[in-house]
Amino acid sequence: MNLASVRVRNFRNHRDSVVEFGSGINFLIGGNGQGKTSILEAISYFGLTKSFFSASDLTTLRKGAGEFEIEGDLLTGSGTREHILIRFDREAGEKKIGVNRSLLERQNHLIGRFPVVVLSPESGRITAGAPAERRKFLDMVLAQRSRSYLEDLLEYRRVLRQRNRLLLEGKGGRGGVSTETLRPWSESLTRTGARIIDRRRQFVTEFLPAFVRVHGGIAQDHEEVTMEYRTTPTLPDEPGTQALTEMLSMALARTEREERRRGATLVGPHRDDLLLSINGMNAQDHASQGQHKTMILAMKIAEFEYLAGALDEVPVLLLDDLFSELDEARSDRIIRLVSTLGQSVITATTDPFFNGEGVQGDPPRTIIVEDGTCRIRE
Amino acid sequence: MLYTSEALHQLIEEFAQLPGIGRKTAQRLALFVLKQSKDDVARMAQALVNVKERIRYCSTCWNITEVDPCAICSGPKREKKVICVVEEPNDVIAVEKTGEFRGLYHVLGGSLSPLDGIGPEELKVRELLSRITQDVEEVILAMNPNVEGEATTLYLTRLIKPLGPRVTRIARGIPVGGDLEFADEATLSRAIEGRIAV
Repeated sequence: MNLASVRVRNFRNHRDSVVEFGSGINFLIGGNGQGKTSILEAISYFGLTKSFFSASDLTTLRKGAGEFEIEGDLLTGSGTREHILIRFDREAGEKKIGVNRSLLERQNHLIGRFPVVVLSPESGRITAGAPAERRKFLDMVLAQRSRSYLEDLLEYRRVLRQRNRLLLEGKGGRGGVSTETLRPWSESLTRTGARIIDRRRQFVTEFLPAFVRVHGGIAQDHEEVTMEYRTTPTLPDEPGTQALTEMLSMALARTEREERRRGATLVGPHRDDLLLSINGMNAQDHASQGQHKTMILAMKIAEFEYLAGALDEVPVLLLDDLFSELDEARSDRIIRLVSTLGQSVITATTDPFFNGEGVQGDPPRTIIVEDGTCRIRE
Repeated sequence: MLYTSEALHQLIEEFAQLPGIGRKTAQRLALFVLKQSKDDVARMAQALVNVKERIRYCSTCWNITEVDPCAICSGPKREKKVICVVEEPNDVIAVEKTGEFRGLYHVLGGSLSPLDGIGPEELKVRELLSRITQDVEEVILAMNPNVEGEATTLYLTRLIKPLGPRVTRIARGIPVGGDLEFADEATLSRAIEGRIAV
């Protein structure tokens, strides 16, 4: 997929900005608070139906405006032109998404169609933060990869809320629900949960070799990274969901007493973790700042490769504030690497260092972002 | 004051209570009523009152009816061996329209949803179980294809199976006249899961 242009109206500090992108690297250069990241956010709506940065559409609405619009012209891998229009109305409190001038009935159906891979300062939480951040990483990749994963995930969350409500009724010894009432929710939970765990562990198996290879290329010293999917029941060796469903169901039965006491579901994919380690040590606790940064970058590039290989569309790479802490040699190496991946949009406060050698594809384009306006630097 | 008549204002307020009716539409409807003849309006008003006065729930299947038991439960041509369990009276209408089903119904009055405070006690579950005698050969569970409908299906299956009858559920899958390539993945994967031998 190739992003030809984006127009944003009343989005963050952009009143009405149009950006035309080159098909290779695009630098968005400007000072703090000028509106660089906002452009990346707007692009991320095409992939995720929301901002990668803030949870609510309301926060991205320009102060005093009633609605914002994000409009994109894209070229798909098969050569067709697609037009996306996303409009959020403050009064209605809702957003509408149109693709090629027809309204999407289910907005989820946009996810995976125009894939994006985002690397921002917040991505650092994936290696350094709580397990929830790593689950979010898995879910974001897999939801873009497969619609049925996304459907399973939404279903699972609904079942989980229902089941937790039941458990809450019995919390602290207040009567509590009967086993018969709890059972159908447990069955739904294990069935959907097993499908999610199965997809996640498959993903890790496919993803790991690419992650290790890309990491080795960036780190250039002998650091060894691994990742492992951790779930409450020990993962059965056989593939498929049947054995998993049984394991999960047994684990659920074992914790039922504790669940009733705490009023929450304690086993399932919503409690799982992706264990990252570097040189045999847990990365979350033991990696240095630089090691974290390298791991994140490697994960994101491997994510790009994974999605590019699995989908019909090559994702657009969105890199927010990547070069702030990198020395010249590293930033030069990364720009060369990124140039091999197709189209990317990269924000920076000053021109990043690169000597132009070995940069592949279209020559990089520089767009100056100043006080909510954008212009291409000739 | 926005409206020069309190009566008109009141009518608009009433219309605005209806599902899917906003204030603008309510206003249009009220002005339409105003233009109608008094007879027409009286007929409509009577129809509204009748709904509440005449309609009650069938004490057997809990569908809406004017006579108890309802026309379906007392119908001589209906097969008494098969009970189709649905969530709402709307669903009975939908299944009846097909003309394919000649058995009896049981309307639960909703589906299990702890978040909405709906447990088995709030549904006509006990009433359903008491209908399952030796004569009942099959119970068809026709819940909505969502999380709550699924849990209700699982719950009822466990209760009904030990009582003897065959328990089935309606198939989920590709709509008739729909193109396979346009079906979303979730629907298609469920349809494959529930495939049948030919």
